[in-house]
Amino acid sequence: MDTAVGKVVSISLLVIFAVMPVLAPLVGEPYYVDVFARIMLWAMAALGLNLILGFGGMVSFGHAAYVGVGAYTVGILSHHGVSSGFLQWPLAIGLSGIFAAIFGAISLRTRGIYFIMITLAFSQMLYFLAVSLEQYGSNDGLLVPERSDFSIGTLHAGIDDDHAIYYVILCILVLCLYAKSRLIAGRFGMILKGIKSNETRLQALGVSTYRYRLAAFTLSGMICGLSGVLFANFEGFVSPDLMHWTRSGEVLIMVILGGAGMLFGPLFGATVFLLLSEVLARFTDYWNIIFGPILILVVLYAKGGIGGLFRGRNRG
Amino acid sequence: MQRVALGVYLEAVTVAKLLLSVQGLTKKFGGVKALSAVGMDVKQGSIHAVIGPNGAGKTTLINLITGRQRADSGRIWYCGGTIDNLSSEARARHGIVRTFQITSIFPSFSALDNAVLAIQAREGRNFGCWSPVRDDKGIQVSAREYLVQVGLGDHEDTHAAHLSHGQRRLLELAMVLATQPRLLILDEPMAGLSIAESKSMVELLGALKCENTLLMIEHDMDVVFSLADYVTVLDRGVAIACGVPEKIRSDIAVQKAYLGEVD
Ligand SMILES: Nc1ncnc2c1ncn2[C@@H]1O[C@H](COP(=O)(O)OP(=O)(O)OP(=O)(O)O)[C@@H](O)[C@H]1O
Ligand SMILES: [Mg+2]
Repeated sequence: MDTAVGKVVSISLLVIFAVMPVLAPLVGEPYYVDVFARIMLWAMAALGLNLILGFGGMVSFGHAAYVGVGAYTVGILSHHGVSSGFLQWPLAIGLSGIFAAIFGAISLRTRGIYFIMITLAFSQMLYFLAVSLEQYGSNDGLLVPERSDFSIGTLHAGIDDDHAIYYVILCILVLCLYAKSRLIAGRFGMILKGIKSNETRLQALGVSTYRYRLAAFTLSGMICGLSGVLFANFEGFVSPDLMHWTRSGEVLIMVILGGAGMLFGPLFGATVFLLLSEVLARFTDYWNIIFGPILILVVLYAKGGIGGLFRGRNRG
Repeated sequence: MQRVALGVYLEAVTVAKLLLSVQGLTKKFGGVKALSAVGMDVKQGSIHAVIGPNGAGKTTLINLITGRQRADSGRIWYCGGTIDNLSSEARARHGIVRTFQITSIFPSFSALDNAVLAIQAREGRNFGCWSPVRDDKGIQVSAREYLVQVGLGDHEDTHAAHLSHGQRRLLELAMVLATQPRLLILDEPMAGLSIAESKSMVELLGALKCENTLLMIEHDMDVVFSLADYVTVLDRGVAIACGVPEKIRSDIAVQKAYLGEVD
């Protein structure tokens, strides 16, 4: 994303997202507002994963679990009549962080395929936990009766309006992108990129890399948790499906498709992945048969993913 | 037993100002005894060379000192205390920093950022998330100085992967220097360098001598005899000789170990 072209494409994409609620109804496809909202939500989860995958080189196959933790926290609280966003959001993000910290602390002691398998196992644990929660709908999921409420005293503030939630999601996504751009250029980001580039060298220079990998893992879980919070609010519904391992796989694909280790990669990846599956699904029921090979081709031939196409020189 | 060792050690420290002292280091890999009861003293401010034929256990010795591998038995003293229980990262933070026989740098970083990362490693407090390292004048200037010191001043923006083999070895040295080590360990710094490159490397290492303590593995005898103050000779895991270069040169056991070796 160092090149001017990359910047222009990234900004244009954000502009398209910004005008979608107005544009889609105009061209008679109001349904696409929802599609684009979902793209942003998954992009945020992918952005969280990209922090550790793209910058730290850790391939987690279980990040949908943290999306689920965030979503379920909001759902369950709302179910019990606790709808204050000031309570729901920090609690949801905090819980995702705690789960990520615990799972990360154990997973990060392993490498390679073992790391992939153990992150998958932990996420499946949470998936089955959600399925087993009968009072919260088991497999059928749980309705979220009302969206998070941000009223202070008599000052009413909420995100009940459909446009409002769309733009809240957009704003938070842009904030996340900005925060991440700062983070990866900062000292912590340098260490993360160093871990991906040559961990042995970093250790031999005196850096205990484990704590940095764990901090990044936890942070990335919290970003996914935030995306889950928004999911629950946007859909008004949470279900174990959100944590299914195929979801984790999809987030992984979005990151790789968009270009791991690039700031806007997850947004590109989520956009192309979800739009393509949307469009292909309209043409044929067997869209997966077309979709699969396309993904494989991109991963094989566009090494840096979609973002890589706009990339100038290679930077750490 | 331990108390005797400590007494001997303390005496040695006061007399000769030892920075590092290893005693009875033994390391086996399966059936292969890579090191058997190796002892060695490195004096503060000296250049200490370790020589020996291929497979003699030189790299293994370094791995044990830096904590990359654990000894089966034996002790390592450094700056007046044992470091046997310290992790390799902790040892590096205490100033034992090494280069690798196979150059180890951050290939996806620019040369400058390689040095920056090394300075970050030395400084610690690396959880900063908000201010770009690029805007940190202090760290950038200091990183540049280390590149200049090894002669890579013109290459700060070059992608490390695009540097030549010799330049990468210099970059690794710059990184190690940037951590301001107390004990600088070099595993065959001349390996694979052109004649001109090794010449400037020898000059560079000679210049380091005043302020640093160097422990280096080297195959090139001319280099060893021109730079080193002390030499330890390893052969099949045993320290067969130790002393000033002139003594080593005339040592019969050493000549035997190298006999027939095409170098
Ligand atoms: N990780 C390992 N696993 C098994 N054997 C090993 C390992 N590391 C070293 N060895 C063996 O230990 C012996 C000493 O190896 P070492 O690398 O220390 O030698 P060296 O003196 O550095 O040789 P060279 O000059 O080739 O670098 C060799 O026989 C080697 O095969
Ligand atoms: Mg060796």
